[in-house]
Amino acid sequence: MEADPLAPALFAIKLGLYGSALLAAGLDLHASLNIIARDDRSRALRIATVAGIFALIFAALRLGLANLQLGGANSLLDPATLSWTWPALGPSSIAVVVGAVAMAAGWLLQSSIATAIGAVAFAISFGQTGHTQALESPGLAPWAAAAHVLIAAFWLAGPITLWPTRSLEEATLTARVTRFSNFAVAAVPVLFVLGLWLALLLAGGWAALLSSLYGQLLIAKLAAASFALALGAYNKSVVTARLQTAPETGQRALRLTLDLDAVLFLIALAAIAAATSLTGPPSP
Amino acid sequence: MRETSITDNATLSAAPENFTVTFSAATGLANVTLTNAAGRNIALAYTPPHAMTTTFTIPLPTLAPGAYTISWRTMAHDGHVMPGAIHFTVAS
Repeated sequence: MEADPLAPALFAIKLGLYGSALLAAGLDLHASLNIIARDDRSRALRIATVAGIFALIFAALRLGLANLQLGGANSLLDPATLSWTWPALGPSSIAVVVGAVAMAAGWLLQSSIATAIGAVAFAISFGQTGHTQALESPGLAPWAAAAHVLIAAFWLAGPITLWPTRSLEEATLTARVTRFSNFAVAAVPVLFVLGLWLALLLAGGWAALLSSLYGQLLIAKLAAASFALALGAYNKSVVTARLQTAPETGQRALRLTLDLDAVLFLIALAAIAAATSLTGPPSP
Repeated sequence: MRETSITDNATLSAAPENFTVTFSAATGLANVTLTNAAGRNIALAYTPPHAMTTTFTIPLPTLAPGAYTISWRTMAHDGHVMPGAIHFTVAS
């Protein structure tokens, strides 16, 4: 296969798109699920809206880059090239626009419904394009991908929502960590099951998952998520209790685990961005 | 891409009349070009269909002995653009 000189740019755009969209959706979910109390959520919603605007920009760049890849240097807005790229990337791009508008409305109107719509729209955008759409019979796979992304977003925004800033009261932090953990205990196992099922479906089975670069990148993502899961279990069983009994020690431990979480999430995002830009599922 | 009717880097004793490329899944062939050893475009009497399918057969003009490259760019259902190319030589 001919090497695509624009592949590194696609990787960078996807990394930006995935990171900003997941951050925006995650923060909005935390607001909608009352992990961040109503009086305290304006800042989080503002950050979510800014991240949502970045996601919008990256989605536009993804479409523009696809045009350049397909039609060459003069094809950025070429209608003939767009007639190929828009059917593949249009529905996802529209979902990002809907999500960004809903997020902005959620922030300006302080509406939990709007923020929830924004988060769900962003998650749906991931199922409307990408490798699940290339399956011979996609079936529920695009919706499974959307659910997977929604839970991943919830998890990925944890280090921001739960970060023990000086302005955050101990009781508020403990309430956030407790409520986040309660949702995470139920949602994260679903995230893993969906992630493994999608990885097997997209790679084409265990053998292809283990032997192809695409499969190995998905395994790297699952491995990073597994370490993060172990940290989550430690947070729930040790750090949450310590926040109540010894707040200072608890906050130190929380900072450390959240730092590690952030690094693991970056690794997972880079792995999935590489899997969807620098390589692809092995041929059947 | 699953297979092509002309193997990459093949030396052919006779000029091929057409070129067939087969993909493992339905794909849109957005453009295809034929260039000679000097990198000059050679016109193809072929317009790719605006539909996704697995096999495309491109009629080739009469080719003089020399080196050629057939390049193409395809769009997959998943939004990925895939470039491809084969190089071949028509022996004198």
